[in-house]
Amino acid sequence: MGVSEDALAAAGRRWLPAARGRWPFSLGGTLLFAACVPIFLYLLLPTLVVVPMAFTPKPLLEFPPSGVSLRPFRDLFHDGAWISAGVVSLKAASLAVVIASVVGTMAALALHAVRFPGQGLLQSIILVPIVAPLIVLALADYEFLLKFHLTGTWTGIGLSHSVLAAPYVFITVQASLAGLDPALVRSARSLGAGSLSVFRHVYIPALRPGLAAGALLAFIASFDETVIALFQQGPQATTLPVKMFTDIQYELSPKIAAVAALLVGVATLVFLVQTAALVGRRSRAHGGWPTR
Amino acid sequence: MAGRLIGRVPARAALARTLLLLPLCVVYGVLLVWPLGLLVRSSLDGGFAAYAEVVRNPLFRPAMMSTLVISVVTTAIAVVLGYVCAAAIWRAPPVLRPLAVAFVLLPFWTAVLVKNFAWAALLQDHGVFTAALRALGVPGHPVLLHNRFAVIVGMVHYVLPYAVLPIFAAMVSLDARLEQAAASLGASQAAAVRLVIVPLTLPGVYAAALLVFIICTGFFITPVILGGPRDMMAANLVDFYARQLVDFRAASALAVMIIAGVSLLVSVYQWLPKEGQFGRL
Amino acid sequence: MKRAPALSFLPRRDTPPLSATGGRRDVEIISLAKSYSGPLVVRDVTFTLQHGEFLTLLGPSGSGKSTTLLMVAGFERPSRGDIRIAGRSIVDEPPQRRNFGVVFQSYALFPHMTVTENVEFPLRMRGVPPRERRARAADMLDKVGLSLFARRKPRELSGGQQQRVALARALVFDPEALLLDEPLGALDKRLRESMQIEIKSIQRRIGVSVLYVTHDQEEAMVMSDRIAVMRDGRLLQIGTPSDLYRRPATPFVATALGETNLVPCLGVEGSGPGRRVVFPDGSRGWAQHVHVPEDGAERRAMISVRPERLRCLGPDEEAENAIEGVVKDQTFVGSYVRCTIEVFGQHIIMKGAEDGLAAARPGQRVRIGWRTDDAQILYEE
Repeated sequence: MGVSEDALAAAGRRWLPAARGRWPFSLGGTLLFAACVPIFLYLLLPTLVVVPMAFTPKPLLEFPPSGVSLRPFRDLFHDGAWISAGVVSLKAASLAVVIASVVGTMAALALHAVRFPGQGLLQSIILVPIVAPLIVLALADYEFLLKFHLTGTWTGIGLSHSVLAAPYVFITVQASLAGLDPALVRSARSLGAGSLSVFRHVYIPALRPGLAAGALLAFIASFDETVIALFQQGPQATTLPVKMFTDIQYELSPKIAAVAALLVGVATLVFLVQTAALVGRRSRAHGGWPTR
Repeated sequence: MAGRLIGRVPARAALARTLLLLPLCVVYGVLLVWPLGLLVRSSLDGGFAAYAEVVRNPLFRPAMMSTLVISVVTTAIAVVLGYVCAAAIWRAPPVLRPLAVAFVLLPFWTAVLVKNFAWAALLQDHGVFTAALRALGVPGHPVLLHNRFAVIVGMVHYVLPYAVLPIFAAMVSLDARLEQAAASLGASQAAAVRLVIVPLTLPGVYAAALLVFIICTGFFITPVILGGPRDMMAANLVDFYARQLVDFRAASALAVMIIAGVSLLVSVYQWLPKEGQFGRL
Repeated sequence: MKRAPALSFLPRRDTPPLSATGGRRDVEIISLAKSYSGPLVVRDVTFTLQHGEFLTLLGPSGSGKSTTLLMVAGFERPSRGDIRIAGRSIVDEPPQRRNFGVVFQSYALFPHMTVTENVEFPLRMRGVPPRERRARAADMLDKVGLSLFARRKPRELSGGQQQRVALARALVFDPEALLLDEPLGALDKRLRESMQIEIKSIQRRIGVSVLYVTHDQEEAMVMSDRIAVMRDGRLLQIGTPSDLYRRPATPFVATALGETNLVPCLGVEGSGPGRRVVFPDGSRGWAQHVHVPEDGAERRAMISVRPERLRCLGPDEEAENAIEGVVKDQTFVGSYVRCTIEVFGQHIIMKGAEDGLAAARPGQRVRIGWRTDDAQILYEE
């Protein structure tokens, strides 16, 4: 008892490294991680090849590229059809994000910290657009918008996309609010806070991160959506994915590679910003809101 | 405001809740229920004639068969690969875990058409893969694009994250002590995986398989870009009726059949054994 | 016998030994130490789990008792030290080859297997043929009184029943020793007490050695042949419950097992096992001097006397030792009376039969005495 550390060392006991001799570093673990390398490569491959292909100097698509040039991008930005496709996509996505954010956030607030019969069913109904086959929605929306002469407009595409995007906002805002303790709301009220100030000082900070993430997902859901936009396309309303879809079937051109590279770039940027925000929020979590 | 705010006045709370749900109801009512109602009505225009017509069309059977075959194969591959990925993320050292998750979620962040374009460029004749195959001494003229193989390559890539997430969730909810218990009782690692970990993560596997299968049946873009004429799937047949034949009655009928099929699968999903059935571990 | 560590990832026959010697060999824990890239959480713990004995590691949370058990089980790798069975080191063996039965607080029963399948599991892993497996599992379930529940799933059982399944599963393969990590922590008080008796009687019947971890001193006293008290990763004292109760080595051990009075002393005089102590008021008394600190550093001394060993002395009554104090409070607890007495500005507790303490009314000055044998000189840690 009470032998000093030196005495311990002097006792000459076998010194053992502190490593834990179990999975993942056993045979099974090694095999597991080895099996993952090709899978991850497979997941990464499309993103990896798209970018270099966009810098090809030749008028034809090639991989690996024989040189580096900005020619595909120059061609792309001088092509009015691609530019207007981009504009249509942005307009439609913006409309969808606005509607989805309002509707999704209000619904999440309505269902926060309450229990009532039929709630589960309501939740599932709200999530229906996520699982519904796009082709069905595309056909239904087309037939519907035809009645109102809204096919072939970016408004029609945006409206159709808003239903698609609303569940994403709903889910993320609901997750954000789940970290908000109803007891906190009650205590705020007991301290004399009115409905409006409770909303401003309790609900808004709690739902903000969820709304940001949800709006982003909603934007992506609309911006990437192809089938609905394809059914409603017109001379004034061809979105970026629709133009890509029709052009790819015609020819694999460097211009498409340039668009794809731009999209990958934007997606990567968004992904990084989000990750950074997430990490930042986690590090601030001790003093801030209990948001998860 | 929200229900709880006015907890002591239930009538006002209910009113507030209804008001907050109203915009959602309006948007879903106008942009989802109404269009779907129109779809059903136009499919029933003239009784069930449109349905009979669709089923009798010689394109119907091959399209359904290829939907089934492609979806089953894609689901099987995705679940196996997904299990490996999920296990690797689960077992990854804490430092590497976020990186592994990022890899798996990457396809989520890449636009569908970007992925399809990339696969088309990679698999095309005179592309890298055909060149590599020829370099490896594969005789003849290997064709990788515009066939079922390409469709499955593209689809597995798309659905893999959907397969990983439910399986990973099942793994994370496992009690770490169970594995220690297995080891202390004399189970080798392989035996612990086979007899404890795999059986207890099966609910996650079922959930993943069904989710992936449902997603697969709705594929539209990938078969067009990566597949050949024989790989027309259910969604492509709807498109064919609507945009090529401009027969909205038939297209609607087929769409209604798809809804029925998907609803059936979703109700199977509800009925599937969930983790909770095993009780607290 | 010894494998080169570099080759340890190579596949080997992973069937654990089916020993015929279970519970009949000593398990030596030698200078065990553990740190997780920081301070040591277990420091130089040495003891021997003798065959057939029930040894409890007792200590508060963070004392290193669970970590010690996990190292014995093979789930944690010691930073230093050795674990040996019959002289053979097992630190390099993975848990599945150590042949210890482990019971966790969460039971860790396999939820997808029936009770019988759970109990058969270790036998299956050892390649026991199905018929013998079934017979042995049934026999063990009979021993823990669960024969009627053999076909149930664990979730259909109560907490106490699940615990007994876990015990049966850990015992059925005749392990070297049973390792229990706070196994009763999740049960309510009443069930805990009946399970204590049950575990103890099963252990007696089977004759297996048990290494038991708990923070509950009563549990340790009731069940153990020997108790090892741990604190801050160190083993403070090991001995039979009565040893530890009568002759604690440190104030921590004295208070960890039952109630005690610690009376400060200004000095210790003399040598040998019985020494004189000087109390704060200058009076003197005798006490046992058994445990001498090894490092010889200057420490404050005190004596420890159990409350039931103090007596209220009559006016002229002689006693081996006596001090005076003022009664502050007297409480009738049923089988005994409990007095609080102020001595040297601090409260000491005295317990005794009602009639023996009749004189100790609140407010009164009393003389309290004790036998030299019942007082221990301890040094602050």
